[in-house]
Amino acid sequence: MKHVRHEQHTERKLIAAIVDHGDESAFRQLYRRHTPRLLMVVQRLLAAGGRDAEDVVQETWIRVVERLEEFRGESAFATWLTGVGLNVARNQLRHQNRRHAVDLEAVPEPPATAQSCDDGIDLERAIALLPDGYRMVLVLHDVEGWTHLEIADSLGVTTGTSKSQLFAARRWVRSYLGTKSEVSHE
Amino acid sequence: MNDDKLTSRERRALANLPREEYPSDLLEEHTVQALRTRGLLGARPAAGLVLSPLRLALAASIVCAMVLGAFALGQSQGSRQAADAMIAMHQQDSWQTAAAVQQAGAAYLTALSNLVNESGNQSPRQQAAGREAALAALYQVADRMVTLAPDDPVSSRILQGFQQVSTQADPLEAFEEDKRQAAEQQVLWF
Repeated sequence: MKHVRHEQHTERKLIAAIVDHGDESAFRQLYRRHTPRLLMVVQRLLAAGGRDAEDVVQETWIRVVERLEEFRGESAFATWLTGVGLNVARNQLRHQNRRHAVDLEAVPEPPATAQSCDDGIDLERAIALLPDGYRMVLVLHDVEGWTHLEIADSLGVTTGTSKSQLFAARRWVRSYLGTKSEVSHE
Repeated sequence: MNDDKLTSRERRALANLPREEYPSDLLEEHTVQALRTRGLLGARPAAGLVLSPLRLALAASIVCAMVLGAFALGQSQGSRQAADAMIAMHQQDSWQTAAAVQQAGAAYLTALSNLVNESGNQSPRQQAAGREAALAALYQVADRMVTLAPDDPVSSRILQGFQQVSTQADPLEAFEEDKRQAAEQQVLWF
């Protein structure tokens, strides 16, 4: 807990240095601290790595620094950063003219069952193959730990829509993986 | 309720997914460069010292006023010093000229006194030559004096006297005439 408070204090100092003085060194520290996680989330949201994901990460940081004065510290910086990254990723998907880019109401048929012996790889592949709307909700909720309220706020939908999309996404993934073992408590 | 429950295996699988992916170093450099290009990183005016157009105009006016003021002050001091130097130079020239005139005048008077004192030992020709030189010098002095002080009555009268003499007879010719007459008298005497 003490470590977290120290981290937050350091983070606030870095942010102040960037806002007040355009301090490049402070930015690089903040960038190196948060970019690996941001890049991973963006790759999952886009279901793509490489150049596309890096373009989104770069654009995310530009928007974040532009609006850094608006950051009040009411939420964790990492959460705020991921929220900005989510919006940039959605725009990227729109520009790619994907069929299910941000259509959260679409309910596609589950794919054929995967044949693999590695749960991790299978799950990663299943998430990547999800329709964009499903994938966003599942990644944010089940991987990143966001609440339905946070997801609804970020995506501009109701919490009910977020829950139904998550239900559909899980069903889709289970169908893909062809497994459904014992139920655990969430 | 559309939400359902995750199995323990599903929860483990989700928890085991990697949470970080390290980007290339190029991405960091590209991002920093993009931020620099937008003026978001690097030298940024401190808060409270934002250069608005009004402040820029005010700062430019102050700088212009300072430059022009300094120029005018420098020019004023420079011309005053130059004028002082010119006046000093002219005063020095005037004093030197006056001193030279005084010395020349004294030398002239000394020579003329010597001529007068030794007139008994000199031949008439030598006396005439001395007298002629003294008159020429006197004429030059009077002429210069009139140029220097046109209203000076003494100089003017001296020049008028020279003019009257020159209209009546040339001094050298008069000297030659006197000499010829004296020879004639001597001839007549003997």
